[in-house]
Amino acid sequence: MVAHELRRRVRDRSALVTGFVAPLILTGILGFAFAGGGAVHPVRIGMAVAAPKVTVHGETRAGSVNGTGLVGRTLISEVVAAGRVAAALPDWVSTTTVSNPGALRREVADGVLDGGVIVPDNLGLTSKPVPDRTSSTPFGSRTRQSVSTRVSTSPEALSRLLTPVVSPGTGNVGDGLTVIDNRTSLVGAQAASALASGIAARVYAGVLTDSSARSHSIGSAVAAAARPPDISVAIETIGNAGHNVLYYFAPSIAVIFLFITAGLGTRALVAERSEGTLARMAAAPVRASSIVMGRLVAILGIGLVSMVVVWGATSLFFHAAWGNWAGVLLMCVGSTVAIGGVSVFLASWARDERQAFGIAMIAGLALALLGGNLLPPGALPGFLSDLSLGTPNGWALVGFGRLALEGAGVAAILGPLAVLGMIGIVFGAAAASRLHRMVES
Amino acid sequence: MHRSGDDRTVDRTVDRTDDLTDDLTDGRTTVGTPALSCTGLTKSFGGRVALDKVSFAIAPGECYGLLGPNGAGKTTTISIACGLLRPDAGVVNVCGEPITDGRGSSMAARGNIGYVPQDVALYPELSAVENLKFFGRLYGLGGRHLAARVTDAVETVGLSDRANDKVGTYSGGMKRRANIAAALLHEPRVLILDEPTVGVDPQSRHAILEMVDRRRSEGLAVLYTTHYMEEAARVCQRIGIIDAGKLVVEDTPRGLTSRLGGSDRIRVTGEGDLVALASACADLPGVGASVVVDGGVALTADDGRQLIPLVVSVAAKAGVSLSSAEVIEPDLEDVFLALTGKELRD
Repeated sequence: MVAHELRRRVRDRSALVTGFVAPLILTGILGFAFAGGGAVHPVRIGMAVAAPKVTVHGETRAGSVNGTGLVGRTLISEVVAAGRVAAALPDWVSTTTVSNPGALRREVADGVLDGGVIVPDNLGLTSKPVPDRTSSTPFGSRTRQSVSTRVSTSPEALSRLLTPVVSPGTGNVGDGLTVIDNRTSLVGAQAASALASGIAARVYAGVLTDSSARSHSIGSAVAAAARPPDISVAIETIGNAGHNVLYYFAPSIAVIFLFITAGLGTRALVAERSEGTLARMAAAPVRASSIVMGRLVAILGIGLVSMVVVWGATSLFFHAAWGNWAGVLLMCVGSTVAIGGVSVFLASWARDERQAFGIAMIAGLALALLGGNLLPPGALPGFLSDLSLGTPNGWALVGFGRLALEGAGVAAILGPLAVLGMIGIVFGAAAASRLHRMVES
Repeated sequence: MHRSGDDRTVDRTVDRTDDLTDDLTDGRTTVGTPALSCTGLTKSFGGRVALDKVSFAIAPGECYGLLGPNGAGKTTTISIACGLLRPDAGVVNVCGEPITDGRGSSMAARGNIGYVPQDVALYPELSAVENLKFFGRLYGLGGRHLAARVTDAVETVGLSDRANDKVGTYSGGMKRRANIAAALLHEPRVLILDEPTVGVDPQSRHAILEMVDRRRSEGLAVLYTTHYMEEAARVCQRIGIIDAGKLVVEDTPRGLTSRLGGSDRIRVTGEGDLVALASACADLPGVGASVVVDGGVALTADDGRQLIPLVVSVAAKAGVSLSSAEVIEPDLEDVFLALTGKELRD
């Protein structure tokens, strides 16, 4: 009996796929994800300069000390690129400069970066002139400068600006450092916090306050100096209320449901072919294209409902914030069309319903892993992170991430929507062609 | 007439259907137009020829049986006739309308066909009524008319009391009947049944055959494929025997059996001068052979049933007291074996 069943399954080829091919693929992905393929996964930390808040006629606006953000950029260059802080970071942490805080937040939300640090352009500069005097810091003696009289774009002047400028205990500081963290890469968040602390310590080697409850080596060392806070390091977890993991994984789960519903829908169609109902429909005075479109719309409709149900349930019962509702709805539609199209196309190659189910499940699981539905792209090694944007679900998570983690509006998801639309058109048309052939055969 | 091999050609009885076919090939769609005509159907799959110039026509009110072993080409013929498969060559006309043209299938022609697939092509998770409504809508039915047709169809197949139960809960015979109801729903002019009684109990088989015969007598043209000779002999007015993709012969059931040497076998038993009886019987019209056998006389004749009264009369004149008379007709199984050299269920 066993031999008979094994012979049947081997001839069906599904046993080869489920017994060998799929486990090897999944083992490879999981191995790279968790073991890093034998190498340590590099952590990417982005840095951006933010214009400081200035008050004009009683109104707070974003401004800049010198109008260009040059102070902050030079600070980054001096402190990080010159290796004064970066050199202290482990070699598996790399730093990069991002054009502005918005872009930084987006890249962290998208998983392109594991964390980020926003450096205000007036970091370390007092808001009013103070007398020059020398203070001692853990990094050596420095001369404090007055912002109103010392700001300059010359390298020498900027270099002076990088010295500690605020007297310990004055509490009179510019905007603090902001660590951007999406909670999907814990190592990245840790590294970003350490980097921010290093910058703060380098700029003003006196006092450091980390508004988060976390401790890290540099921050702890500086905090041990037991001085009043002057340069703050704030942790900004994208999203809010600490539900970021839910915010990330709620759309992830919804997207996985798309694979399942689309796969099951195609399986049902393949079953109809073997049960004869498809032939009976094809013999009726209706166009094959009508049958195909009816099935596709039903499959995608059920997929869309499954997404909306996950959206509603996680929002209602777990208070997940998916972001702008119009954007979420558009993303749901775009994701359904793209992922449904891919899933139906793949499953349409099956010869019977068992194969269709197997293809749908395996393709869904593999794409979910690659796209970041099961593991955030930040947890994957570099080349797999890049591959996540080669999957429709990877793009779906980019869009949902921008809405939920970044709090962006519809405009921010037009890019992901366009990509999903293209995927949907290409694979939807291919799937329709396959189903058309299935109906006519 | 026995033919075999590649030289086989269709041997048909000239009857009214041939006339109708001629009408059709001339392009005329007169009152005598066949409900379904297939002309020169040819189809290959890869290098294998599945159908080779198969032609036949079915008149309204006629049931045409297509007999053949597995792989003979029956289902391919039906698939082409229904527009599910495009032939490499040949034409199918349904009520004068080609089922396919250069652009695809004719919706009008399809609307005139009721197709009963070999498998029970219904959704088991739906009730019979729900199934019928779905397929009825595919044929353009709706509203009260659809509801009335569904009611009529379930009554026709004797499923009224279970109409709202899920089809998955039906017995095999009930599923088969529901399968046929779905094909009758839109009142087609041609009913195509692909082995509709496979695996059903005798009672359901009887009900199905009764229903088919009743609808045929109401003017429906029926194309019926089966493995069961007794079914074909019972419901079909004409039968085509198909083997290896070729229509070997078509005729009435009676005509087919008569081709086996054209003879019924008659055996009478009795007491008296059996030699005189055999001699007298040999002079009767239509008698081929007449010999004395153990306790009686054995005859061959074109039509044994019509000959029996004459034999009784001759026996009386010859002073033979008959105790029994038996007519043994050759059946279609014998015909099939003789024509193709193989059993029907091969």
